[in-house]
Parts: sequence; structure tokens; C-alpha cells
Amino acid sequence: MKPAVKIFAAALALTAWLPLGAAAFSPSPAFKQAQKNYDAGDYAGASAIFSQISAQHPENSAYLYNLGDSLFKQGRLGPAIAAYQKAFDLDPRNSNIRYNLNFALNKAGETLVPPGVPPALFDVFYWFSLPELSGLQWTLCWLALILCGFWILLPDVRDKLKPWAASALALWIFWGGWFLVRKSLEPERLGVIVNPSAEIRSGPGDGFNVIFTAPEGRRVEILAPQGDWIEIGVLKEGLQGWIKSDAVEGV
Amino acid sequence: MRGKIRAAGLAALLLASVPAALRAQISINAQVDRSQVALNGQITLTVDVSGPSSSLPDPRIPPMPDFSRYSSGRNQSISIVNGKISSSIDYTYVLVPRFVGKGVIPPITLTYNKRTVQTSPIAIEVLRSAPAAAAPAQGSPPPSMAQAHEVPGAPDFFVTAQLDKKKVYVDEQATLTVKFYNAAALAGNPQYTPPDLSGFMKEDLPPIRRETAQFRGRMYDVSVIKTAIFPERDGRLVIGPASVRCPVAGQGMDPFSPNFFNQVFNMNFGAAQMKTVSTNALKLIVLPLPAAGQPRNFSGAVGHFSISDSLDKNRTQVGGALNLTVSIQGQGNLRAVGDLRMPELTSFRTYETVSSLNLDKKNDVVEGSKVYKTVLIPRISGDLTIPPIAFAYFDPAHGAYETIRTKPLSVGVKPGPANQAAGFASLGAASAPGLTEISQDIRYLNTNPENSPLVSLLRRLGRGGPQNALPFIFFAACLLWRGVERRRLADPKRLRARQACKTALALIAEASREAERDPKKSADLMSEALCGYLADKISEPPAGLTLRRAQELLRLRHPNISAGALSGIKNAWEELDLRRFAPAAHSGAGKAGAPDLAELLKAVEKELDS
Repeated sequence: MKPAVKIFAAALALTAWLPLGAAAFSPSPAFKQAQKNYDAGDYAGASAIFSQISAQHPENSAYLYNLGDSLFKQGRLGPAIAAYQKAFDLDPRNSNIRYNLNFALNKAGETLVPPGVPPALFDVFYWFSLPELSGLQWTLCWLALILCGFWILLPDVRDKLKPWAASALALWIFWGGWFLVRKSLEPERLGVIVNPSAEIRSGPGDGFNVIFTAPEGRRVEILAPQGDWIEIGVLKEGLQGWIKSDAVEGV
Repeated sequence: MRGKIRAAGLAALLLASVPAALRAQISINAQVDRSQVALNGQITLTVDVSGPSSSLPDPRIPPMPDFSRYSSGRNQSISIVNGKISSSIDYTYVLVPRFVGKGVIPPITLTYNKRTVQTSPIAIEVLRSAPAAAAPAQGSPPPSMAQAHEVPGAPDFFVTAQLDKKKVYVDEQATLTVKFYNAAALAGNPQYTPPDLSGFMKEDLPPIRRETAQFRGRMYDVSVIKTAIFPERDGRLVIGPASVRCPVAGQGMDPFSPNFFNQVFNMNFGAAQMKTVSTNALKLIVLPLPAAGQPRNFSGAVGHFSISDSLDKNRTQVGGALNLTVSIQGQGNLRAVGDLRMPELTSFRTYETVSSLNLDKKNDVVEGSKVYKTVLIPRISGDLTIPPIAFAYFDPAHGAYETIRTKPLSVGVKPGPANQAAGFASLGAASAPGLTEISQDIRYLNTNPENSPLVSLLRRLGRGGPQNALPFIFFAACLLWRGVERRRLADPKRLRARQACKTALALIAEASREAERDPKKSADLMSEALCGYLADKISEPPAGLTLRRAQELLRLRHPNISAGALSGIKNAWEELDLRRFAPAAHSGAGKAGAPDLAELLKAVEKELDS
């Protein structure tokens, strides 16, 4: 096996396992109180605290997951799915997030894994979050360009640099391609219906006909806002219409 | 004849082709409380429908020309035995006879699963006055018409309509009262046409009441017809006019005949004239139910209700059946009460909930109950609890939503036979042998919500930003440098000429440093600098280059070079030769010569570049 291939394979394995591992956590008093409320069945109290904590730590998927749990237990399916979806977007590897999101989506008539897609393929494709894929591809972009730059600048060490630069370049193409494919497949802005039964009209106003209704928890693509109304596309059925903005929570 | 008389037994008159097993599935039965009735009396007709379903169809009541018919209520009972549902509904009607003589209640039919059953016709004898054995339903006889003489300004008959409320909420009851005043001898039975009630759901409020009233000094028989109406939408709704067509008596009429519903039919019709009196249309303001504060489990109930629940037993075993009954009772439009939202009972397997509706109309108020029955089968043993079941309704009296709850119910469940629970409990297809999935729920909280530092770093890197342009700039710079280098190496003469001044100045600087310590070496270095510079500019090797050759080639390659520059080069060349080969004659001049030479070369360089 050529040195470049060996380095590429080793580096690919290393980058794939980079995100694993978590630091030790000492719960804050607010977190303890929220957990206590949840255990006592005071889900509204728990969700209020988790909502505050997750607003302070918007990139922590666990707080969003816990918020989703406490909203789900209150029967607020739409906001719960929105919270789970945000958590999933941050940490798609987390099996608990996947399970609960799928569980909640089932109640809204959807599934996490689209019909016809092998679950294993879905798991692999969504192993990394978009921010992580972006971070990986930028890291490898730096590495590849710097190594290639030195390869150009230093003719004397070109032979030694060549496998490293080639591997870094290949990894960058690999992760960058994955990132671009994911980005192109996902909607620009995702939202979730949070009203028990939302009416979608043909235009931005009560005077337009209701063209369909959507159940609470259904994921939609947010297309264009206009005043108190926003245009949405319903992903599963491929329908499009206008809905009052307070009936949809952005993800 | 007192008491109920079964006028028609079981009238499951099915088609001859229907198998016996199917015939037994549904039946219809009609009975009346009396077979003789006075013209001013009433009959109660009860139609009983029973069958193996919780949602039996309504019977089809045929037109009854001999009677006026009013719905008085319904009463449904459901039983679930060994998982089989059967129900029975009693429909009650009040019939008011129109004519003296023989009246008939025609067969009442019911169609279910494309099969039709019907009752037998029931004969009723209508007497002119109350029979001895059967007292009139209303108790009081009609007033004597002795006072019903004509009074100027007081009409013979007229009709009025009024509502008990001017403003109601959607689905709140309002009561419409139509009163027919009659002080004349009518030649026949008046025909009542009810008002148009589009936009309302209505319930008759029988029986028809009779009273007397004085108007403008004249005594009237008054027949009162009441109807409960429930608006189905908000806004200003209109109740159309109600009307009564009256055959006005001619000569030979009995002036003391009973009131309008009891007019005998055997009068002198030949002389009768039809006159119609109508009410005015009425308006009712209907308020929408408020959106604010509407509970999530509100299903459209408007009125005032209470809720109760019960189990048919409080001890059972895993796999045994329990009947949970939840009853909502109260005043309001119970037909509009939707399905009951049952709590999640993970310890039980639950079957579909069936409901029955019971309506009563006491005191002109529609009331009754809606009963929900569900079969529960415990999945696990232990002391299990059925949590409170919530029901939300809108109370128009308070203008607010109310949520009421049942009390929690407890049941002791003993372990059942082996695999009893598994048979019921396996929700998922992939349950392994020995495992029984009882329920599904979301997973618990994440109690270690700390991100991996590497993940945090990756996310920070992934945000992008101007810093990510740096590797591209670096790489572009490398490429640029590489291009420049290539271009430079591709033309060595040009490169040598361009670097000539820089190389010479470096040698002159070294010569300047050596001037004190070793003047001869300094002179050698300056000579080397001058010679090298000229050689680089004319692309000749420095070795063996003479001043004359250098001047010739300079003139040839750079025609614009000035004579002064050539002269300066000549002087410097000769002076340096003297220093190198006769150092004693020029002792101490070397240090002062280096800057001069440097200035000379810079001037020549400038001239050659221009």
C-alpha cells in the first residue's frame, strides 16, 4: 500500500472518531431543580427551566433534548418535536435524541428515517451534524492547503511532503463533498407546526381559501415570511401554502 | 286500560330470505302507553331498537296523518360481554291525536346492514272526551267556550313566538315558545307549520301545554309549543315565522268545541274557510366561543356538566377484562359532545371506546348523559391506578371554560396464567422470547449534558468566517511565488542583468569594510564589483573582460547610455587598477572610493533602466 493511501486511511479513521467522548459534568442548581420537577411530574416547571438553560447554551443538544422531553410529557407535541429536531441537528449521533425524535414524529404521522431509505444508510449519512461536517472540512482545508503550499515552496522536501499533502487533500475533498451533499439536501429553514390543527391558506391572509390543514408536529420548510404570515412547504406531502407565523416554530 | 300495553310485540319482521342467525342480530319494537285516548289527550310512543353495535341507526318514523308527533328523548344502554357489544336505544315520542275515531300508527322501519325490519301497525281509538280508564295527559279539561263570544278589537285567533334569550353562545340552548290563541269555533284541525330553523339544531320540548288567557277582554284557549334550539354558528341568526292554517267554521258549528288541536274532524267542512296566521321572524345574537383559555381537550361541549367514572370490578388478574364506564351528565347539547380523550394507560391494553347518548327534556331543558365504555385488560400485576380523566366544556352561565376530572380508580391485579400478558402486551413485532414490551415512551432526560471539547472545537471551526480565507491566501501566495520563480529561472541573462547592481553593491559594501584593514583586498573587491557589474549588464563572462570591450558592448546593448556614464566607468576602472597594482601611490584613498563607486553604479543603473 502506498504511503499516501495509508495516511489517508489513518487520518479518515481519526477524523471520524474525533467527536466522541464527553467531559465530566457537574449539574448546576437550576439543572437539578429542573430534573427534580420532571421526576415529580411537574413538566411545565421543568420545561420552563430547561428553556432558560438551553437559551443560555444554544449549542448544547442535551438541554434541548431535556426541553423536548418535558414538553412532550405536557402533550405539547409540536414544541417538543421542534426541541428534539434542534437537538438532533446539533448531535445526530445521540441514540436517545434519535429515538425520542422518531417517537414524537410517529405521533405526528412522520418518521425520522424517510420511507424507502435503509436505516443504516441514514445513520451513517447523519452521523455528523452539519456544523461538525463544516468544522471538519475547514480543518482539512487548512491542513491540505498549508501542506500543498509547503510542497510548492520547498522543493527539497517535496518527496517527504507528497503523501501527507495528498492525503490531506483527499480528506478535504471527502469531508467537503459530504458537507455539500448534506447542505444541498436539507431545507434552508425548517419549522414545526405547533398549533393543534393548523390551517394553511392559498395566500397571506384570512381572506384566502384554506387549501389544507396540517397536524401539530408536522415538519415544514419555511419559505418566505410576509408580515404575520409565512409561506411554508410541507415536506412529506410536497404541498405549499401560507400560515400564520405563530403557528410555526422555526428550528 | 292503564299501564303500558304492548301494542306490538317484537316486530322483527324480517325478510323471509334472511337467515335466522342474522335475524337475531337486530330488532325493533314499538309500544304505546294506551290504546284509547281522548282528543285532548296524548299518547307516549316508545320505539326500542336493539342490536350488536354501539352505533345503531335511527328508526325511520313514517308520516302520521292521524297524529302530531314530538320527540321526547332517547335512552341508550350498552353492554359489553366477552368483548361483544350490544346496545339498546329507546326513542320516546309524544303523539297528539288530530281526529276522533280510529287512528293508526304506521309500521316503523329500521335498516341496518342492508336489511330492513319493521314494527306492526298500532291501532289507536280516539274518543271525543277522556275515557274513564285513561285520564288526559295534561290533567285539566279544556276550558268551556261559553265565554268565547266575539269582542270588538280582539281577533278570533292569532299566534305569537318568543325566545327566552336574546343573546346566546354557539351551541347554548335557547327556547322558542310558539303560542296559538284561539277563541273561535274552528271547522277543523289547525295545521301548524314550524319556523325555518336553518343554522340551528333543534329538540322538541313536548308535551303541548294548554292554558287559558285573557286578551283585550276576551278569553282564549292557548296551545303552547316549545322547541329547544342550539345555534350552530355565531352571528345574527334569524328564526323564520311560524304559521297556523285554521279552517274557520261556518254555520252549524259547535261553538263549544275543544281547542285547536282537539277540533273534531266531522264538522261542516263544506262551509269552512282557511285562514293563516303567522308570527314575526325573530333575531338571535349568537356569540362565538372565546378562543382565549380554550383547553386543549375541549371537544365542543357547551352547557353545565359533571363527570363520574366506575369499574365493574376492583380485582382481577393479568389478562382479565375490566369495564371502565365514564359518564358525563348535565344540561346542554349532549349531541355535540365529542369523543372523550382518555389518558395514556400504559399498564392496560385498551379497546375502542363506545359511547351512548341519553336525552331527557324535563322543565324545558335538554339534559341527559353521555356514557363512554371501554374494556381494559391489565398487562401487569400489582395495584394499578387509572388516572383522572379530564373533560372540558364551556359554561355559558359563567362565560368561561371549565375542566372537570374523574376520581382516580384503583384495581388490584393478580398475576395471570403463564404467557397471559404476553399475548396482549406485545406491541412491537420484535419482542424477544421471554420479554414483554408493555408500553412505549420517550427516553429519560440527559443528565450529563456536557459536550465533547473536540465537538465544541469542530463546531467553532465550522462557523466559518474571514479567518478561513487565510489558507487560500497562503496557497495563492505559494503559487504566485512559484510562478515568479519559474519565470525568473527561464531567462538567466535578464536575471543576471537585473541582479547586477545588487551584487555589485554587496561587494562594494564588503570592500568598504575591508578598506581599513586590507586596502588591497578592498580594491580587489571593488574592481570585482565593477567588472562583475559590467559583465552582468552586457552578458559577458567577467574573466578577461577589458575596459574597452565593456565600453563597446555597453554602447551596443544600451545605445542611450551617456558619455558621462562611460567616462565615469573608465575613470573608476583605471583608478581601481592603480590601487590594485600600485597600492603605495594611493594609500588611504580606498575607503573614500567605495561610496563613489556605489554612487556611480547606481547612476549607471538608473540610466540603463530608463
